[in-house]
Amino acid sequence: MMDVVTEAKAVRVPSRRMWRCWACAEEVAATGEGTCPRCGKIQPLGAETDYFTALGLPRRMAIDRADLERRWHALSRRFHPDFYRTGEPRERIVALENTALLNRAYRALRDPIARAEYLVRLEEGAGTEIPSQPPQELFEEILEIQELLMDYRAAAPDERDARRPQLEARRQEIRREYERVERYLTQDLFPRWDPLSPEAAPSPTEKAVLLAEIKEAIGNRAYLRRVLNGLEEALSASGVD
Amino acid sequence: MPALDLPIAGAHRHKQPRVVGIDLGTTNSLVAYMDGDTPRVIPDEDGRRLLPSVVCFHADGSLTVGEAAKRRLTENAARTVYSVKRLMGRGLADVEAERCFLPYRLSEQHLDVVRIEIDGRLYSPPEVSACILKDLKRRAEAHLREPITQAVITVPAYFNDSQRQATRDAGRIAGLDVLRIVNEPTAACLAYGLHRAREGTVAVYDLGGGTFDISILKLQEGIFEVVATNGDTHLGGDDMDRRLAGCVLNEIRAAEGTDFADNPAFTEEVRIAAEIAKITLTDAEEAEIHLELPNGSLYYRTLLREEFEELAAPIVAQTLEPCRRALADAGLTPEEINEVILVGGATRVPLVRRRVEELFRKRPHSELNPDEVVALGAAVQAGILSGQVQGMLLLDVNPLSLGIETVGGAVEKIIPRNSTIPTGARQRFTTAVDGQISVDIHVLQGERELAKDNRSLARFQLRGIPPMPAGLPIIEVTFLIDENGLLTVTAREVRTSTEAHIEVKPSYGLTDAEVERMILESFEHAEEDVRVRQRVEAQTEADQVLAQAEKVLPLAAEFIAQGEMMEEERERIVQALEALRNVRQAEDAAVIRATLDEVEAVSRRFAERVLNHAVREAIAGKTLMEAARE
Repeated sequence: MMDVVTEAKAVRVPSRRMWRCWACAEEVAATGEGTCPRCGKIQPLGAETDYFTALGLPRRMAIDRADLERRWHALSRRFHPDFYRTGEPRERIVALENTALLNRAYRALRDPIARAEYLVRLEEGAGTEIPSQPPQELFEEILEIQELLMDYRAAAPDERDARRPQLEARRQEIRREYERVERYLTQDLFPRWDPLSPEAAPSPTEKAVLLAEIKEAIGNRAYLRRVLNGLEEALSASGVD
Repeated sequence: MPALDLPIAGAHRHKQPRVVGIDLGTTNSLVAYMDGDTPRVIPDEDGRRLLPSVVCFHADGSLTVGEAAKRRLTENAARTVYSVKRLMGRGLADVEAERCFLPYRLSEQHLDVVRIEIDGRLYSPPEVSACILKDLKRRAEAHLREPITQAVITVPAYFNDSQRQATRDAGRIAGLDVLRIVNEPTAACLAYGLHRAREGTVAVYDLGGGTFDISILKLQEGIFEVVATNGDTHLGGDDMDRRLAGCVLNEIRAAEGTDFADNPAFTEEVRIAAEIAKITLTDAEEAEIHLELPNGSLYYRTLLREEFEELAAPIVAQTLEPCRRALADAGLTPEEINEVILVGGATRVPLVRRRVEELFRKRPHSELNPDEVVALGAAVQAGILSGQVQGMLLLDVNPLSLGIETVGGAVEKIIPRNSTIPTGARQRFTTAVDGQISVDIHVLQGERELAKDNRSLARFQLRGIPPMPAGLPIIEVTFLIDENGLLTVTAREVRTSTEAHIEVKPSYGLTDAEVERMILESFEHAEEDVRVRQRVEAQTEADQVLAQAEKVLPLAAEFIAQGEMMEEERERIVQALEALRNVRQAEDAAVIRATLDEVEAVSRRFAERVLNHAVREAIAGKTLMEAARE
């Protein structure tokens, strides 16, 4: 059973940086503490708020995990629906939606890869696709693996044992590649992003080139993960049937 | 100014209503409350703390719940429902494997929501669970001497949306406002963490009668964050009993040429004997099983602990894989777990303890009674919600990924498993045909790639899309999982900013209308409930009035001395209070009510004087203070 809920929408004040409090109509700064300075009621963070802003962080790749967690905990203590159970319906919706946003934000930002994907979409629009694709140089190798896997799955159980060492070797190879792409992302590409903050006035091409490289590496990693999963699944299932 | 809060008859004190915590278990259920800062289990009049989750429906339409119903299991097997939790939120196909174990009948006509058929009457699992909840509610009301209308109820962490909804429906049918559905292992962790400034990672291993859960939590400054959960909703101590019973029946068949399968009472007797042997083997090295067979011969055997462990081993082994998956999801090794907590009656089995200790390489905690710890934790969460417990916050997760069916029967995951709840996702859809005004969406829960392998939650239709060329409308659907792990959906067409209508057809589960009907029926069939509740309410009010009167009555002498009140008036009040004291124990709420009205009538003027007196005192006090300041 599902219920239909209506979103609590803040009324936008013409100045755009200000909102009106849903409870007392006081003007509230959009970047404030999340509570109305006059009546103290919690304010909607707004569905359009990006994850960095929601957690009070600059748009950077480098994030201190402990600091991120502290911010998430503190904001959870402010907005969690548990503390507004007896509040008015509007207040409870604000608590629910704010907390849902914070939880999504924390989940996306705590993992470096998910954080990079989110940054790419912030830069290029929410609909940006990051296609999962094999690294150019591994194209033939991966074709071979797919064929090996197909034969392996079709083989009789007693024949499989003979083929295992071959698959095992490929699995280790792909795992090494996967780890290499991940290192390249986190140790080469990501550190190049933060110096390109708006204050540094980077050239548009510089930024676009880096974004394209990041997207490609994320796509490669996702592809290799899938191949690896396929190999691991086949190897672990073989013993059973 | 002091609070002028005088609950002389008619005036009510504003107090946060009490919220109780309920563990609605497969085998036993319990209710607990916060007594100050300590959670306590509420016993029944005979001091029993566990209520067997068994309901017996008699031929005359009446019913028995708990211990008395459990005693009837063998003589009345076909009309006695146990383990109903295994049927909650499930369709007939889901429970195919265990139907043969159940002595009661399931209707063949109802495929989406299982119905239990007794004497031609159909009962849905939430209705049966509601009978158990009502009994716990009565128990709490009798013990706490106040009406109970709000509760926190626990469910296995690995329960899906339909099973959670069914649990909430059961609460509604029982007349309880279910403030929160809490996961059982999480509740246990709350109970353990309440008075200890614990930090670090905790694994909760919860093996109950019919379900298995493993949850991994991170504790930090009063925040209990669940980082991963896994489990199996069809695995528990019952399965050990069944394996043992199967073994006994095999031996009987070998000796007698029959296992009396056509005699459900006997099959039930064997199951109970198996359960007793399992419990005996917790402390003893061997257990004896005696059975009188329907043909008059006797079956006797000594069961060694090793023999039992051989039978139970596959079940215990099945729990270890979910543990490893939860560790992997949490990104932790067994060594990184600081503490392990055991929950559920089946964790008393020594083999379970050994295997858990081997996996996590540390001795698990079991200081709190594994049968009670979940209910105690539910009471703690109830205390957090009512504001009675401060500084603690529980951040739980959704156990299963939420997805929608895409073209070709695949699933697109939109909310991954182990996401902290509440959480949400937004997804954009468009139309495939020019002028299309509705879009069908199928919501699923589970980890598999194909829609058909996952649990169907609901199908719904977005309607009211303005007619436009194909692909032009942008329909934004917002999925929101609330703090109970329950899903709500909203939709909006972005270009024209119109709200789309959503028609939801739950795949498994009762519709709102069905639940409403069951609530009504339950009241028709339970006038007794209403009477008890009215009586408890009246008695509570009588107690408040008597206590307050005792406090303010000495003032009457003062008023009389000042000539503001006549001696006869005081006499009348004293008499009315005496009458109230006498009828307080009356069975009938109406008698107590009438006497309360009488007290109110004769004491109204006195109450006004008390009020004025208090105001005068307050003003006088204030003036003096002001004077002192000047």
